[in-house]
Amino acid sequence: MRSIEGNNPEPRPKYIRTSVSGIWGKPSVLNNVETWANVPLIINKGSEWYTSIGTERSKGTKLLSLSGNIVNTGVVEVTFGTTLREIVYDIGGGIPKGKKLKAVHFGGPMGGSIPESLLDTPLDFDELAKLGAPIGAGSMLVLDEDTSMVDVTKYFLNFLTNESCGKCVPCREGIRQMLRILTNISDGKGREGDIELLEEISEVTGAASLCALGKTASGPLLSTLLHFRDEYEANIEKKKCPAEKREL
Amino acid sequence: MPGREARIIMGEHKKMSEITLQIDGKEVKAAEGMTVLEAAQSADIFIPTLCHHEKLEPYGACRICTVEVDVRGSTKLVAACLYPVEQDLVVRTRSEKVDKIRKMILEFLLAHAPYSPQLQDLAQEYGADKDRFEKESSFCILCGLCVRYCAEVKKKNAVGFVECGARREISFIPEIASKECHSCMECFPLCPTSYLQAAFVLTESFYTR
Repeated sequence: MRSIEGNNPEPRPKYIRTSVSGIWGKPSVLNNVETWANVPLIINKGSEWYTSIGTERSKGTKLLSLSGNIVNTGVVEVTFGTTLREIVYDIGGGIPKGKKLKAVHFGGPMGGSIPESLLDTPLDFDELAKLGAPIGAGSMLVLDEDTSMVDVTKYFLNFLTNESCGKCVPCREGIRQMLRILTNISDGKGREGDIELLEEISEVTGAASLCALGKTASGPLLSTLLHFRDEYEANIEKKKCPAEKREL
Repeated sequence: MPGREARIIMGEHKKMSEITLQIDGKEVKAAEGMTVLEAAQSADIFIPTLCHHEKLEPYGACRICTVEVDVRGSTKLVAACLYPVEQDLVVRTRSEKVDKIRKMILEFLLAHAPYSPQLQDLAQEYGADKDRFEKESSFCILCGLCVRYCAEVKKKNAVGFVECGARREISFIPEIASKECHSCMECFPLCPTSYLQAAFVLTESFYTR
């Protein structure tokens, strides 16, 4: 909105909802196109029809963008409540070359990963959020057994280094330092205490950043630390990644 | 976003509705439209700031003014320089969480400007270790005081931000700087690190070469 107004693309330093005062001071609604795609259906077929589909708290369907180590890539429409296993194996056609699934990453660079052991979780905002993986705009990245979760996290943070506008300190400097530590761990130069320092930085960055980018930048880090902590530890202790490394 | 003048007029206008909030257990009266920082300052309660300047629009970038507020049953961490006061708001300017955030922000910034007196003073207060993070090549802590002063007060835009994220830096626009800066230099004393002066001198040297 700041860009449309002709200003620098930085978050508005205001505690005012855009629905109250947004672009040029007027009430504004800013949503993903994918969210808007639901609106005509609700208007045409009614809310009763819409809410009859899906789970208790997640209604309707979701457009998922399947990518990564999966046979069928592309956009699919899935009813809420479908399990992740059904999405990966029935809809997505499974993992190429007979490899095993390691994790499913939701929500892109600010999202989180779900390990294979939790694959029977249904597609549901609350269920996945509980596991540290927000559905977000529906990006679903499938990762096979050869993937290093440390490298995936590093990749996302590196992406966010360029996406961060750099205005506020916790986001700009937090991402800079987290990326530096992750790079060291990935290069076999990790030190004892690195995991704890990463957790401390992510807590401050998550709590004190100006906008949602900084607040959620540590999402992949926190979710992989939750589900794949042993991989970080092995990287630091043995100076080597237990996963077969693959270029991302 | 209304300009500062409009905001002040709106603030004056709304002064009729005085509200009461609590800061560190002390009852504070404030006018609607004021920020928590302004209310605290009026009651002589200190909240540290780095990017704030009374002549400039609130910016909310350094986050050192982060405070804890209880509002409608939930506790939030907010930037005092931006957060508007409201009736019965409870503010804590120090808490375990607030201190932890300020300590790390200082450690991030001390990696850039370890000798900034302002940062050193705050580091002592919050127990921040200036050597926690590897030293960075740039002194600039990107508070934006120079950039915003030049844009908002002088209306010249001789200095601006370039690049984003961790690559962000300040840069003088040679075409404007060569005309305007020699007779002004009012942004120099605003800088908490002296980086600005160095950058300016550098730009100047390119032009007098």
